[in-house]
This record gives sequence, C-alpha cells and structure tokens, in this order.
Amino acid sequence: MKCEQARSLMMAYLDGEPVDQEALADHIARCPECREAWERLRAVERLLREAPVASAPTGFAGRVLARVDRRRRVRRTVLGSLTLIIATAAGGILGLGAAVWSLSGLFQFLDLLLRAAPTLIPRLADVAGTLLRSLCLTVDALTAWLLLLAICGLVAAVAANWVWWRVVRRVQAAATAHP
Amino acid sequence: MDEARWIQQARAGDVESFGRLVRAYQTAVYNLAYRMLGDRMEAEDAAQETFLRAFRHLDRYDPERPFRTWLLSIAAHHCIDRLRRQRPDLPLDPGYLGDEDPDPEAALIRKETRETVQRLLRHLPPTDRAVVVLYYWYGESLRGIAEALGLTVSAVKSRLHRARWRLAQGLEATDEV
Repeated sequence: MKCEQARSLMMAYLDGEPVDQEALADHIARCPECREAWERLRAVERLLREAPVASAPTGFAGRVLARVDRRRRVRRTVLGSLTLIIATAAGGILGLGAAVWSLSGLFQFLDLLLRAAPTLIPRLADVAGTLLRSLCLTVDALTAWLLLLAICGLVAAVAANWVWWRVVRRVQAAATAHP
Repeated sequence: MDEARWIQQARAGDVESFGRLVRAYQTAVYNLAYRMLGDRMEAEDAAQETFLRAFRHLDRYDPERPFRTWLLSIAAHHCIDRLRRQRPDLPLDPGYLGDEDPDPEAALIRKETRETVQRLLRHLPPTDRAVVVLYYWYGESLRGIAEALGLTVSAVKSRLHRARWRLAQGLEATDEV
C-alpha cells in the first residue's frame, strides 16, 4: 500500500466508514512518516472530542430579549413617523389641490359676474324690490292672526306644564307610599 | 411539542415564546460562536446577533427541518462573515468562563486543552472551522453540515479532511514550540 492510499484510509476510518484496518495497521507499522501522521491525527481527534461545551454567560437570554424589544420599538417609531409624514404629505397635497381648484372656480365665477354686471345688477334690483313688497303685504295681512296664534300657544304651553307637573307629583307620591 | 408551539407564537410576534427558544438554545449558539471566534465578547455579540436574525426571519424557517440546525446555520454564516472581516492577528482569549476545577492539576490540564483547541482552530479558514465545530461539537452528519452551510456533501467531506490535516500540522508546530 502506498502512503497516499494509507492516508485516504485514515480519513475514511475517522469518518466512521468501514476500512481494511489490517492493511492500514500493516502500513503504519512499516512507515514511520505515516505512523507519526496517524498519531497526530488521533491526538487531534481526542482533543476535539474531549473539548467541553462553552456555556452561555449569565443573563444572556435577558440581554437578547432586551435587544429584540429595543429593535421593535425603534421599528415602530420609524413606521409611525413614516405614516405621519405620508399622511401629512397626502393631506397637504389634497388641501393644495382643493385650494387651487376652488380658487380657479372663484376666479371663473368673478369673471362671469364681471362680464354679466351691466345687465345683471338692474335685474337683481327689480327682483329684490318685488320680493320686499310681497313680504310687506303678507306681514300686514297676517299680523292679527299671528298675534292670536302666539297668545293661544303660550296659554296651551302653560296649561300643559301645569298638568304634567301635577301628574309627576302624583306618581312620585304613589311610589313613595308603596315602595 | 412545546417547541413547535413556541416557534408558532414567536412567529406571531410573541417575545415571551421567543425567550423560551433563546433559553433552550443559548448554549448551543454561544458555544458555536465561541469555538468559531475564540473570544468571549465577540462570541456573545455574535450569538445575540444570531438570535436577533432568527427572530426577524422566523417566517423563513421550514418546520420540517430541526430548529437547532436552522439556528446553527445562521450562527455559522454570521461567524464566517465576522471572521472574514476580522483582523487575523487578534490575541487569543485566555479561556472562557470560570468553570473552576477543585483539583488544580486537572484544572491546568483542562485549561491547556482548551487553549490548544482554540489555537488549533485558528489555523483553519472560516468555513473549514465551521465544518469542524459542527462535526465535533454538535455531532452533525456530513449531510446536515452541507445543508447548514449551503455546500455539497463532497465539499464538506473534503473540507473536513483538509481541516484534520491542518490541525495535525498545527499540533506538531505547537509541540515543537
């Protein structure tokens, strides 16, 4: 067996694979270099297999959870701030849009009014005069009746209150007598 | 099983359930980080970062795979990245934690063994180191290591073999000093 083959067998053996152990032992017994290499490999194997597990330091889990909590809070703050900024920007854009739209509407209306002013103003004055005259005639005709109606309403309201008060007092008295 | 429930609840954002998972796997993750990085402070930071990443990416966890392997995979990748960024000449940590042995001679031997192991591991490139740690400390199969590190089984095998030879050479150099 050549040294190269023997070294492959050493690895296979350390991997836990089935190997021709007699052939390997025979080569190791005859080859000092492979024997030394094999001893080193076995020593490394022992060291690694015997090395203890390093325990997590005290309070480790608490420190991890504190970092998780801190990151979540930062994330929430950032998300909240972003939402606020986006909402403000959206509100601003909407408001600006509405203002531009309403201003243009106002300008259009003023423009229309100015163009129609020479004919519109006398017509408006006519309509307003007619309306005022109608209103005065109606008030003259209804004043006596309105006055009578107001007095009747007042009397009816006072009577209703007096009756209501009497009924409530009676019910209260009955409830106190028979609890 | 409790673990499956904790994972499900932690996925929904329950920090308390995630805390149970942290307590169950803290030593496994910390030990891997310590063996890979060789420094207690670095190991604690790397182990914490592993859990933070796990919490953030719990939705990517496949429940068909063991949770421990998934966690160790995150830890190994994170440590490999750290080692690649790290200065190669960082001093060796004199040993982790004070697990005092009542017998001074036995304590000395244990300390020497620990230091030798850490010194030997430093001879290895980051990915080979991860292969060795997962193989010897966690008893992971070659296939399990391949899945955890995103390598083929034959690549893991050749890395493991190369690592053994390098460690043997490292031991020889240590003996000569």
